Amino acid sequence: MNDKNYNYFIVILFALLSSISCTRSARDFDKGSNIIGVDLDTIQYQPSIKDLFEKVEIIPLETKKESIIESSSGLKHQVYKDRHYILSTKQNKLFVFERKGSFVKTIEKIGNGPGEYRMIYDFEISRFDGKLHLMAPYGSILIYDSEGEKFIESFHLPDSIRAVHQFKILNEDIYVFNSDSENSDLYFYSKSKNAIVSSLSVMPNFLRVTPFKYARTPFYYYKDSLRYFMGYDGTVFNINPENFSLDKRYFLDFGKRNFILKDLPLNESVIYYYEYYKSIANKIATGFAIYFETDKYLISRYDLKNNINYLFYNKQNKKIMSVFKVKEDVQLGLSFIESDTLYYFVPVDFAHLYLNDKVVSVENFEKLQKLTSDSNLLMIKYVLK
Amino acid sequence: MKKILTTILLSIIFFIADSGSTKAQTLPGSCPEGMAWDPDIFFCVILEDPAVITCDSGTSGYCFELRFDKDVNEYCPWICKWTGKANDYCNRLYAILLNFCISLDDN
Repeated sequence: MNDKNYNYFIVILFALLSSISCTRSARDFDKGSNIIGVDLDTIQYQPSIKDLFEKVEIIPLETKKESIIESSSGLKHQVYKDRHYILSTKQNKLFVFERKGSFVKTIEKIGNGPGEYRMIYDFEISRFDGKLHLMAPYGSILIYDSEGEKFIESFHLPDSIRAVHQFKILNEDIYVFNSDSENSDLYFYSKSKNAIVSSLSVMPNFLRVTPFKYARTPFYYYKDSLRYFMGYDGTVFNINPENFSLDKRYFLDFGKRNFILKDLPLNESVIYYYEYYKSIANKIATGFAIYFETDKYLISRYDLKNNINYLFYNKQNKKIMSVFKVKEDVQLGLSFIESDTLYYFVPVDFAHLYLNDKVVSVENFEKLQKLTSDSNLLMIKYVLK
Repeated sequence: MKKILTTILLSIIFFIADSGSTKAQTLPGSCPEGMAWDPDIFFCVILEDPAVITCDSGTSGYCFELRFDKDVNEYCPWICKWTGKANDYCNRLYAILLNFCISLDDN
C-alpha cells in the first residue's frame, strides 16, 4: 500500500470508528459590507517582531505545588485589578496570580452544595459589578464576590437547555450563552426575568464538531461591544444589546482562498472533518480560531498552508500583515487580550518556539534559561505598538 | 516503524471504540443505571423515559461527546465535551489515544 492509499485507509478507518453525526444542512452567509480584502500574494508575511510590538516580556508563573497549571490547553484568562485570573477547565480550578507572576490563591468549589459545582467551563469577573461568575456546562452560573470567597447567588438555565459551553455578560441584566450541542447557538438570558428572552441559530450544527470553528470562545469584547465570530469563514458580528440581533461587522475576503461552506460534505464523522480540514487548510484560509480588536488593530488567528497564522489588519492605515514566523525566527502565540497587551501561556519545554534572545531582553532571556521542565507555565506578554 | 506503531494504536482504538461507542456494550444484566439490555442487538440501550438521567459525574462517559477542541496550541485537541445528552458517550482513553496518534502523525 503506498503512502497515499495508506492515509486514505486511515481516514476511512477513523470515519468508521467515529459515530458522531450531524443533521442540519449548511447555510451560506452573504458577505455584506465591511469587507476587508486580503490578497495573500501581496501582503507582508514575515515582519520583524518590532514592527508589531513595543516589547515582549516573559512572566514565569510561580511554581508551587498548589499553583501548577497542568496544561496550557483549555485555559480562560482575565486580568482584573492587577491580577491574572486563569481558569483551567481541565482542573476545574481558577488560579490567581499577581501581575509579576507570584501565586495568590486558587478558587475551587467542587461539590454538590450551594455555590459548588462539578465542572467549570467558563468564567468572567463582571465589568458591571466586579462579581466573579463561574459557569458550569450544565447551565448554571454561580456568582461570588470579586475575591471568590463569598457565594452570593446562582441561577440555572431552563432544563430544556442541557449544555452551554461559553458565556459573556452583555449588560447588567442579559447573559449570552453559546452552546455547541443545542439546537441554537446563542441564548440570551435575562436575570431579572429568569428566562431566555431570545435565541439564535447562527452556525450550521454539523460544524460544531469540526475544526472549522473557534478556539476557546466565539466571543470577544471590544470596548463596550460584544462581538461574535464564525470560525469557518471569519465573519465577525456585533451583538446588538437592544434587540439581540447580530450585525455584520467585518469579513475577511481572501478571494480565491475563501472557505466555501457548500463545498463541505455534510453529516460526516468528527474524524473525517479533522482529516478534511487538514487537507483543505493547505489551500484556503479557514479555521478562524481567535479574534482580538483594539483601536488600531483587528487581529485574527487563522489556518493557512497548515500553519497557524496571525493576520494583523491596521484599522488606521488599512495595511495587512500575516504572520506565521517573525523575522527573528520564532512563532507568535497570542491567546488573550487586555487592552493593548496580548498574552500567551506555554509550557517551558515549548518556550523555544516562541522566544529567543532576539525577541526578549537579556534579563528576560536569562530568566527563561533558569526555568526547568518542572516549572509552572510561562506567560508571554506582547505589548502592541 | 511509524506505520507499525500507528497500526497498533489504531487496533487499540478500534477495540476501545467498539466497547465504548454511543451504545454501551456490556454483559447482560450489567447495564448502567437508566439503560436496559437489548438481547436483539446485544447492547445496552437508553431507556425511553426522558426523566432518567444517566450522565457521568466526571469529565467523560455518558453525556459527553468526543470533540476536536481547537485551542491556541493544539497539543491535545481531542477532548470529551459535555453535551448533557444521555445517549452521548465519550471514552476518555479514546481521546487520549487520538491525541497520541496525532502526535505521531505530526512527527
